[in-house]
Amino acid sequence: MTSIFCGSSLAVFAEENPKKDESPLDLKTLKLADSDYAMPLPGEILSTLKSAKPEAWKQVTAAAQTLDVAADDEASSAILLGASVADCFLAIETKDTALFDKRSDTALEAAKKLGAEQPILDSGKTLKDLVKEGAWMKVVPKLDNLHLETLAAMRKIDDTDSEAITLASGWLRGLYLFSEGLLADYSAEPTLALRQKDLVNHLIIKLSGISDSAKESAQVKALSTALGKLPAALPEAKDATLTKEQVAALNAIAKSAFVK
Amino acid sequence: MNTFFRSRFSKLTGAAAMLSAALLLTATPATASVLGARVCAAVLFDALSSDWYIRDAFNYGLLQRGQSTVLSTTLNAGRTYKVVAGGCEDAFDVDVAVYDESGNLVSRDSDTSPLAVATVSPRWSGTFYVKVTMYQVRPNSGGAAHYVVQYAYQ
Repeated sequence: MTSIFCGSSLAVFAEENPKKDESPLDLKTLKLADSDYAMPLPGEILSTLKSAKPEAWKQVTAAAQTLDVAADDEASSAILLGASVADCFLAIETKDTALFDKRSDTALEAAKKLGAEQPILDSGKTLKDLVKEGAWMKVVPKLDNLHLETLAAMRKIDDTDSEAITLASGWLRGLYLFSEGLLADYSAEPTLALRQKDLVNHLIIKLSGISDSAKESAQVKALSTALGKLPAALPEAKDATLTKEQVAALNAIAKSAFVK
Repeated sequence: MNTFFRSRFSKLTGAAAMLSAALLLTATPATASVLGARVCAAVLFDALSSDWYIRDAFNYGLLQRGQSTVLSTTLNAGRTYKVVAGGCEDAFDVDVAVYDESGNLVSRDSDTSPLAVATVSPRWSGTFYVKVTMYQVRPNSGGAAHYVVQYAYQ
């Protein structure tokens, strides 16, 4: 990919260019920090359902209508934020304006409770305007931006608890919706997308690092318990798929992560 | 070095022009260099057709001439990804290579350019490793340049 060149003119270098390395990556000596890991978007897994039948999407959308978490403290607000953002990504996939409006309101309300700054909250209006215009593709980066800006705002006030809870909640909600779709229109191939043990382990590590007081929350306990059950339930081998029964088990685990 | 970072000044992902404006308005040289790398990546995102989703989050860092760094991410089966490594104004040749969880090379861009793009269509979901190498920097750069790594998928 040389067609796009960012820079000025070519330069002549006195030093010899280092030789380009073609060898495989030595994973044994590789040491990565947690910050070297890039999380996928909450809606990324949902988009792998693209080829599912309309009935499946109907089922997923119906499942997304229920989110019985009361935002009465920071932990539950963080859970609501993560789950609502995942629902918004579903709304984008299904072009469901009503669901998007409903969940973006919930997300913004939760973000406000978590200390998000006014410009972040104001961006919610821009999102809704884009949805009204039907510019769904433009909504994705803006929604991702809103999500990440809120996480950054949490970090700024040293609220790493809410950040970890939001990320775990968002992923579990995405898993719940994805598995609902699979149960409505099961085929083995989309279950290849569920091979995400490293991601789950990343979330488990993040969640285990939250404060003891946050861990006391019944809602956070439900989230942690669900996450803890997942590694054994996710496919291991590269080409391993899950049966419908296994998907149902995953669905039950993901559903149990969200309690009142 | 490889800090997961949210840009507080990039309200519009993929908009190279806005990022360039932000670059002009930013006072600190270190930040400007990261922004320069973002602008470079944004040029590619702007060139992509509209059906590509972009992960707004990005990794960034400073690399010496000839130095590499490795990052990781989860990529999903059934999607096609573009892993984009952009260098700042001081970068001359940035390469990117994507490896699977066994360390096997699955895609790379080793052309001489400060923008490198590796395209991956994973056959299974899982962890992938992204190696960024700053092969060459421009003269008077102090021997180092900033990079960003960002992802798009469809």
